[in-house]
Amino acid sequence: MKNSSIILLLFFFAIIVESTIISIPLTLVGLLVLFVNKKDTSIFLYAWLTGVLLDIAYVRTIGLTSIFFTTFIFLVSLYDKKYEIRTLPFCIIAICTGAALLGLLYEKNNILMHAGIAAMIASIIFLITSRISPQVHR
Amino acid sequence: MKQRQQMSKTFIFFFFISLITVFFFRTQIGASVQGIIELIYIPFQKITYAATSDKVIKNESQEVTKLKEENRRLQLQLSNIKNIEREAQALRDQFNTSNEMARKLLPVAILGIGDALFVKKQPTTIIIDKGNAEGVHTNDVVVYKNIILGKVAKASEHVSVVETVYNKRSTFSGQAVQSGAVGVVRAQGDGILFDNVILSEKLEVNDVIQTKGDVNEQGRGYTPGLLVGKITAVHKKASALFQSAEITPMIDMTRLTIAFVLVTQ
Repeated sequence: MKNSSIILLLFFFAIIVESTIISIPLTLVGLLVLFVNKKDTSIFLYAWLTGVLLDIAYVRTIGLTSIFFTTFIFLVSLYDKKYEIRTLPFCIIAICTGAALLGLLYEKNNILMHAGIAAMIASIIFLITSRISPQVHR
Repeated sequence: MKQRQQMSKTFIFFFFISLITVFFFRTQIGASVQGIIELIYIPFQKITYAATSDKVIKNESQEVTKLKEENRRLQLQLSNIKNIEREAQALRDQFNTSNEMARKLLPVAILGIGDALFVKKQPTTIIIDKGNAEGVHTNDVVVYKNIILGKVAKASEHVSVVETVYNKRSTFSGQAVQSGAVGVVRAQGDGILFDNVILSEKLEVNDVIQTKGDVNEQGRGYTPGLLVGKITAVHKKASALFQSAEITPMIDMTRLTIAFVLVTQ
């Protein structure tokens, strides 16, 4: 309960920053790192909720980002059996693809640059969480 | 295998929940819920955006800001004088006043911008803290000191998205203040272009471009006389059908925290 409150608070902070200062998909980064670490079905709930909140903040069609986020997490989960997804290269490739697709969906400018920065942020968060959680391997 | 099945089931469940969400927020109850969440968001967004734009402003020396302000003021004066001259001429020619709909200026706070601040690019979209409930509607024009920022593209209950003059979807007719040349103002790359100006018209560097007026039947849209920017380069080829000019805007949108919406009454 305590953990989920902290996660929700962090997501809320990410949504505010993403919708006001930088348009880097921080929420997507958070969802990916969380899924890679937890591999839990509860991430779908976060994906739906953050998608709705992000759409409201951006004044977009509410629900579209939720569809994108849940599909993205599901696709990542499909790779779980074939590859080791708790790795830095996987995180980088997944977030680059996800951020680029999200950029294309909402016709954003500088898609590649956004994807690159998102990958950098994802790497940093992944490395931090890998230090905290011993389960995570580089 | 079991975990995978569970994952698939959860995905299908939340996928359908997301689809239902799309339809729910189109209903009256959905719009009310959206309005409440927007009201919760607004203070946080205001604080975050204001904090970051203040940081940007502090980086510029006070002298440069002062000179820019002075330059903007003089250009405004010049534009106003030219407009008064034209108006007087028009009144002389025709003893009729315009039947333009009454408009009022509604102050709005900028909550966010469409592109990253640290890239130092002008935003293609901005989010403002007023929506349908406050009288802001799609196609209302957003200005700052008679300088055009853009047009409302989408308005929800308490928040609206503005497509700025840097947005590729934003095109409108413009007019050079000194020469009177008429053309189309549109975004190109990271800048603004004054395009489709016939070759016989005279375009000069430093001439100010203003809106010519693109108002719809509800009275919403670009009213005439709003400043767009100053010509910095002219592209003219004898073989081409039209000439064009690059426009430098009079305002840095990334530094703004407030703006005004021209609301039709």
